[in-house]
Order: sequence, then structure tokens, then C-alpha cells
Amino acid sequence: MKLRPLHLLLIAAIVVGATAGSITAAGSFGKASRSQPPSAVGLYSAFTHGRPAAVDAQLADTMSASNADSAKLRVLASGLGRFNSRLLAFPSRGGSSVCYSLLGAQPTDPAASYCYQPTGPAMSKALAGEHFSPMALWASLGGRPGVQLFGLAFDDVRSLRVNVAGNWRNVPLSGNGFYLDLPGVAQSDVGAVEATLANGSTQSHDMRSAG
Amino acid sequence: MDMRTTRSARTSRRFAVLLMIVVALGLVTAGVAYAATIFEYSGSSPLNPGGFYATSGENYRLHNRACRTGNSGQMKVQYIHLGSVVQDSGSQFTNCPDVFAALETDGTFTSKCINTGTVAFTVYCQTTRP
Repeated sequence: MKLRPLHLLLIAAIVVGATAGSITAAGSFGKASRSQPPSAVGLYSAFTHGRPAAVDAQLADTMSASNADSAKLRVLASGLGRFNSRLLAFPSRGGSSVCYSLLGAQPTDPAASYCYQPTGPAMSKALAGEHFSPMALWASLGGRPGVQLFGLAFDDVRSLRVNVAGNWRNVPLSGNGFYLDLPGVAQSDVGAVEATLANGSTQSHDMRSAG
Repeated sequence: MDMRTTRSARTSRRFAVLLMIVVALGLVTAGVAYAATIFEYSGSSPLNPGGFYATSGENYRLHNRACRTGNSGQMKVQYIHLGSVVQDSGSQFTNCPDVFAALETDGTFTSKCINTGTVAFTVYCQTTRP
């Protein structure tokens, strides 16, 4: 087919439009770019066997900022704790990163997300090799202060416990997600989170020092 | 109107439709990005351990997220209301743009990001609205 000037103009407009759209979408968070490690999706069976979830409006911006694979968004658990929360997870950046989020029943409830590279160079050496990632969200909203401990675990994590003010508490595990509501607990009282793996070994993550 | 003219007109129409679709998608994408009203509140100066950036005051916000730039470092994000911390992510390792911590609660807060590591580093802290 012979291209006419009008056709060339249209093709140029399409290329410019698509490029501008991509830049607009990708520019919302983080400017650096590095070589990406291999996909970590296979470490979490929820992403391959779980049921896809609809994108929550409250999470849409974080999913966009992290270049999420929204087709693999999963609800790992729901009806959790004081705020009837949901624990969600999704891979991002081609599977090299994963994110998990705790969302309350209302958008004004305590809610947080963490995106990380389970096996990638972007992580600190202190966290290299950990088969789980915990977050201890403290909030004093609606007159109900306390911590919600939650996170994401590899398939080979069999159990979890957390040291709260010197006492060990079991952390319920639901597939690849875990959650424990700690009403009235200060963030500084949440110490080590310890995971037992399928091979019997344990791993520890100190919330007060290891991040 | 001969056969060649008809084919040419049809092809042009197809290109025009395609162009309109691309423009519409671009507008939708730009609209979504604009609606989020992203606001970076961190400066270019490195934060010392314990140092922080914060928005100048309270505003209605949809998120508050942060990460260290250029390397991994511990940070936390907080929401503050009427001078008191009302939500705290806890200290997490961060490394822009892949590794970051975020508060997702909607509400009227001051957004704050804090270096909870042991060395000084530059950060990127983002919330919605100044």
C-alpha cells in the first residue's frame, strides 16, 4: 500500500499519543529505573491459583504507581480485625516486585501498602533471603488505637509468631497472607516476627531494627 | 467515485477512527493522572537519621508514600491530625521506585516521611495535594 501524507500524519499522531499516554501513566511515582530481577510471582501460589479480584478504587493509585499486574490482584483474607479489613496482594513491574495492602471497610479506616522485591537487588542485605515481609501499621483512628500486623509469605512458610512486649503470639496465616490485630498495643512493643519454614528452619525479622 | 477513491476513503476513515481511539485513551489516562493531584513534598537535601519532610499543613489526602532514592534505606510515613500522629506505617526498607511504603487512608491530615535509618540519604515523598 502506498502511504499518503495524510496517512503518515495519522501514524505520527498515533505514535505521539501513545507515547504521551505511557509517559503520563508511568511518571506518577519513582523516576529511577534499574535492571529488573526475575519474576517472583512463582513464590506465591495465590497469584497463580487464586481468584482475580476487582481493582479497589482506594488502591488504584498505588497499583498505577507500581505498574501493577492488575489481573493478578488477589484478596488473601477479609473480615479482619477491628476494621473488618481486607488483605490484598498483587505483583508489579513484570513480577519482579510484589505489593500487599491492608484496606479497612471504609476508606477512612487505617490502611497501608508495601511494595518490595522479594529476591531483587533493591532490597537491603538485611532482608535478603527472608521468605516473608511484615508491616506493623499503628493507628489511632476512630478511638481505636493499636497495631495491625500483616504481610505476605512465600508458599513454604508454615507458621508465624510475633513477640509482643515479651510474649509470643501466633500470627494466623491464610494462604500467602498473614494478619494479627493487636488493639491497644504500641508500635514499640512489637518486636521480632518469626517464621517457620517447610524445612523446619526459622527466620526472624525484628520490626524495631530490621525494618 | 471510482473503486480506488472508495478504498482510499475507507482507509482514511479507519485511520481516523483509530486516531480518535488513541486520543480518547490518552485523555482518559491523563485525566486519571490529573485527578490524583500528585504532590511531592520532599526536598533535594538529604535527610539525616530521624530527619523528616512534611507537608505545610493539613489537607484532604488519599495516600502518603515514600522511599529512599538511589539505594535502600529505612523510612516510615505518618499521618498527623491536629498535631498528633494518628497513623504510622512502621519502619520499612525502601528503595525507589520498586520498594516503598504507603499509607492509603483517606482523610484530612498532614503527611510526613521520616528517615528511620542510620545514615543520611535523599528521599522521595509523595502525597495528594500540598
